Amino acid sequence: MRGEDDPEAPKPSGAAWGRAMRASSDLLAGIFVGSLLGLGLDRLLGSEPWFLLAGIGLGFAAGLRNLSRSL
Amino acid sequence: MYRFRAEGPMEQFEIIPIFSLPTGSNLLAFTNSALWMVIGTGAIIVFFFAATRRAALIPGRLQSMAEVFYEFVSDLVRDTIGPEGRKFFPYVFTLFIWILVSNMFGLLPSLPGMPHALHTFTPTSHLIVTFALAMLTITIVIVYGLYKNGLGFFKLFAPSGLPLWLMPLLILIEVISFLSRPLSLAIRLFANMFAGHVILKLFATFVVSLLSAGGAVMLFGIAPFFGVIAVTALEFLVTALQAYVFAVLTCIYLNDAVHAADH
Repeated sequence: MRGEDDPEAPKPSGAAWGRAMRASSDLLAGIFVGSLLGLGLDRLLGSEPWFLLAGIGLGFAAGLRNLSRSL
Repeated sequence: MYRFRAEGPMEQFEIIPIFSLPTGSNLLAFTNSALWMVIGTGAIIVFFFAATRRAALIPGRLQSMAEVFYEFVSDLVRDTIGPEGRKFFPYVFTLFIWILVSNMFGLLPSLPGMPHALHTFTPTSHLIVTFALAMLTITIVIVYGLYKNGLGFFKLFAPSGLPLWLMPLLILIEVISFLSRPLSLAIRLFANMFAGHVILKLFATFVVSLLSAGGAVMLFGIAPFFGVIAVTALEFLVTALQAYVFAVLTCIYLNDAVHAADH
């Protein structure tokens, strides 16, 4: 799969820090994009809050997908 | 007489227009952020011109440094993308060196007595700068992916070997996951630079305020002083590491674009 064959980062302690930062930002970005898409669809269709709720769920799933790919 | 102390740890991120561009409005200005981008880019150009001016078979000091950078990024591109990745080498190299230098120059001490607009500044500590870089990467991924694979590029969103009833849900998740990549790239670089610089300035503020308190309280200033030294060392590591991570992820995403159809 993609991402799993990353070459190791230069230093062990730095690599751990880098991985931690990567994991958190991956998860955060997934949720953020999902919620934003949901919010946008809701605004467009006037259906608050259903797409937002679905978007948060899907975003969380996408964030975990990012995580599973990058760890 | 100049001030020794900044207003607070956030003052370093302030955008200060140096001069407005002649467009009639003062919305478009040459700021301290732009100034440090220019300084960084200029330093890179000067360095590589100096390093390759007298290219020799047995490299001198400067040429060795340039070659180390070159081989580092070259290996990275070849290992991640493969032989087709050669054409992306200039882009990844530019990105890596530019982010590295922008990050590093923010750690230079400002000359005392300089006006605020000329204090050292880290362009990459602003989300919009890192987001622009990430969007550039993703745009290249999408455009090149569509050009190379045609509609096969969209196989990227359909993991193979899945039951059909799961497809709609997973495609949705994969699309959101793809869209979150530029944000994830941008947030990571920005957050690292931002947080590191805030911690650095906070520790430094402790030192100054404890030392100016006088008496025995001054002794408490010793610990944050060594803290600042340690955090500065860590920051140098983080600047290099984040430039590296940005380059690695750019390569991984480009690899998706190159090999999208073979999934």
